[in-house]
Amino acid sequence: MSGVSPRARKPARRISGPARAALAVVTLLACTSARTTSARAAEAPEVAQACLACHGEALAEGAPPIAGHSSNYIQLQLVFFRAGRRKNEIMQGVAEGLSDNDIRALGKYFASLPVPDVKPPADTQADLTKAGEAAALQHRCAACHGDTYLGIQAAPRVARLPEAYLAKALGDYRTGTRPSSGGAAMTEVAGSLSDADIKALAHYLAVLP
Amino acid sequence: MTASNGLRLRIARGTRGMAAALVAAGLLTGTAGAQALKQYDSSGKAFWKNPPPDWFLGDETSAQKGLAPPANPALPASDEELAENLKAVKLPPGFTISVYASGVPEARQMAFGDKGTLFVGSFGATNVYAIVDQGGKKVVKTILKGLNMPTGVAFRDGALYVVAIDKIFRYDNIEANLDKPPEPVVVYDDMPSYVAHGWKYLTFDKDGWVYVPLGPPFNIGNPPSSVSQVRRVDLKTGAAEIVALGVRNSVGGDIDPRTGRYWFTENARDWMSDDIPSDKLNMISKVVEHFGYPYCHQGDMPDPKFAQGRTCAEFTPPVAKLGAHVAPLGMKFYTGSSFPAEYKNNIFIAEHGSWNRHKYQGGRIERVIVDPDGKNAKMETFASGWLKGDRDYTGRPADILVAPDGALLVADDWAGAIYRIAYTK
Repeated sequence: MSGVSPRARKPARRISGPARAALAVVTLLACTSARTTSARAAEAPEVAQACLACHGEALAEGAPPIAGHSSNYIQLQLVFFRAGRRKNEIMQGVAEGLSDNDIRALGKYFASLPVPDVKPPADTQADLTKAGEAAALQHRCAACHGDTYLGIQAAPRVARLPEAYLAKALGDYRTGTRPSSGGAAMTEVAGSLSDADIKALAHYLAVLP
Repeated sequence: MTASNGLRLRIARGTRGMAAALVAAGLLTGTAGAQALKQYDSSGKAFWKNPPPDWFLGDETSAQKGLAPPANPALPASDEELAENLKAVKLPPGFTISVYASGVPEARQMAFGDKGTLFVGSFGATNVYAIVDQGGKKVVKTILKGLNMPTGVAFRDGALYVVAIDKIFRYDNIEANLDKPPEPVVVYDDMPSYVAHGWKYLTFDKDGWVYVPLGPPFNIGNPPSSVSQVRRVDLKTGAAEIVALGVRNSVGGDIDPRTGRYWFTENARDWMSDDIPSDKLNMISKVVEHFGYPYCHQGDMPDPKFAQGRTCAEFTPPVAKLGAHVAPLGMKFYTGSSFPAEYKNNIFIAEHGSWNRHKYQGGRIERVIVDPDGKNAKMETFASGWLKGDRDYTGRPADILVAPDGALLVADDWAGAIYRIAYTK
């Protein structure tokens, strides 16, 4: 299974603290102004500019990379945010102004981008990785996300996503605060995870070679 | 097949402990290092009432591993996408397909009102829609919300009937009140609340009784006594009779205009293989015929576990084997007059398409030419082109309706649209 871009890319930059708060404001401003400006990016639809502020080459804290996810996955998440079914202050703020056509365009655009070719962080916790691998087998993660965890259809790529993001996502599925597509598969799977399982799974997936 | 799209079932959770235990149990039987197969014990009422969200995976095999239903698109297809999709649809010479209405999320059974309103049920969207013509443009109104899988709709004597799992509702004088539908009257509720395969289809006969299929709340097993059957119900009195037994998941049927008999489609069990057993087209020639489930599939294939000593010769075979995992849903006899004469009384079947198969098939409309007694069935594909590659849909036909002008309407619950197929020569 391929799909990983050969294109070299800078490692993700982390933004935290006041910078993050400032960025949130910038994002919201970008969201409102992007829709009135006539300037157009070379390839990205105008409406994608607000997204790229956090999900572009450099990732804002807590913002996962979204390039190369399937169009259906991107669209599902935006619809969930817009409907308030998935909670995040920034994302709900961005999504509430999106039309159906905006969401379709964003899905198409981000799906057309290559998957970021990031090197996983060095694995300094081999035992945790092993526990995560066992948990992934037990909970059948690869059945939907693919043997190399690069995603299939609406089940997204989970390989080499930020560890903190993966842990948060699994925790949110477990508590039912993040909706699951595809027959509620994630709600079902995450419902039986322990805190230790989540920690191990997030680590294992984040450092996948 | 069966479970269809999205499967966003509103099922109470609370089976986590059980699910975890079963997953762990599955591990013990799996080979070392291999991913466990999903196994559920679906034989008891706890499962029927509160199945885990992924109940349809409960009989997973290594051969079919991971072949779960694909997640529905997030949004109904846009007009531009629909125009593009329909370019790929192949029809016999002289026929054309166009968009009748777009923006109809998870569209399922359709029924016309006397004044030309098209009523449409839905799967997990919980809605019933009314599509009306306003100055030549079709406008989609969501007239009912929050119903439990309201897949089946019918219209008679000014009233709209909606079936939502365990209740049939009647909305009187509906076409005069589309913007403020009346409170419904519950006209039949002697049905179990099991959601799995509990979504239904409604067909009135000439006496004004309605045919209702009731599916088993799992893939395969000895069904609860209240399901795996088709009933004929008088909605005026609540009188009901069982007309067919041994039926798995049926979500389509129609009255043969030649004989008054009820014909119906049936989805065969999953997790046997890519190519068996075949889905079916059945006909009821006398009351309480048994069609074989769970003992015998496709009329000639004993179930490896649930045959339980019964033989296929004991059961009514299908009129036609439609193919494995094609998922036949809505069907109608062609009773219009705008198609060429040879289409008269042919059956059109909306095939929803596979999920439990490595290379999907179905996702098209089949034409069946068959004698009134069920003999000499011939099948051909009438409309196809919604299936891309091995496992990608641009649309999934879910129901068929003959419009008053003789055109064929097709409900697509994947693209959230209604199409119109006309003969234009």
